[in-house]
Amino acid sequence: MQMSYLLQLVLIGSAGAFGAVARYVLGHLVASRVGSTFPFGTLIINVSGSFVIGVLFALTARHLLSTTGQLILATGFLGGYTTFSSMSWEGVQLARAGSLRASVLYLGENVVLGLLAASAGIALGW
Amino acid sequence: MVSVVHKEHLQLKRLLIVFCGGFLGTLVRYLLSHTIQGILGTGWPYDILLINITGAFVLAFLSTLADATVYVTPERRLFLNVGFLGAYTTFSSLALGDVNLFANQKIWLALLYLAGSLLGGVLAALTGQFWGYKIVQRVRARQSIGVQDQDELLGVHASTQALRDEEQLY
Repeated sequence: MQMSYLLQLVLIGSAGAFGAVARYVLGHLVASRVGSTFPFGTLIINVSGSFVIGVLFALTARHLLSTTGQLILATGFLGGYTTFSSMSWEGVQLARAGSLRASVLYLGENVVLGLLAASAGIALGW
Repeated sequence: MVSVVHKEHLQLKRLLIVFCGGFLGTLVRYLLSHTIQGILGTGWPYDILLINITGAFVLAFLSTLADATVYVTPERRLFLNVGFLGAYTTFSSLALGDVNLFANQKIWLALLYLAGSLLGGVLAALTGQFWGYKIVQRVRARQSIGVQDQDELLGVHASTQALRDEEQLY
């Protein structure tokens, strides 16, 4: 019991670590391709992660995925992959750079597209 | 040839730093979320809200120090900001939790959760930045220093100089 809990912690942590690395690599790739100061990387990461968490949620509700599997993939990997702190920071930086409009647009896009993506994911997995 | 090998080595080291930070950040979020749910219940996602707002504060604080090259080296920024805080805070759980609140017809709670997260995150980032500037000013005032002395303060090695520009992103 104690051992399996410890193993579960290690698996969740490792999944989150891989998620963080995926975010780092993808963020760099997007930034180097787009060549714009608008933080598209975090936006793409958050929206895609929201979509997949919706799918996983639906699969768990249908008992096609175990709750442990959901913990490792959703809480672990997607939790490490998507990020809220960078989004807030980037939103503030856009406003500081002089474009309040870009800042509101960026945060709004994250939220609206994120919620739509999660809904679409649930619909797809159901 | 030598420089290519050197660069690949650097890349791998950076990925490893992010990996370690991400591992710890994910575990702290998971354990803290459990503890908060144990105290406040699972009726409302207090856990994710609290985690995201505290993470936004610390990230802004550390990023401000890093931008001013005070205390936070590019490596520490990779570990703390990209790895730890990036994984500690989460957006996907926020989106899913909010969709579920909407789906359960708890419209006002869903809107409150969303507005609280966004406004709380922005305010936390502004506050973190403010305290970051305070520290930077204090350090600058204590010793009016040149770039070389700053590097001494940071303990920066020659190899980390090249990282600096690339990591400005985060």
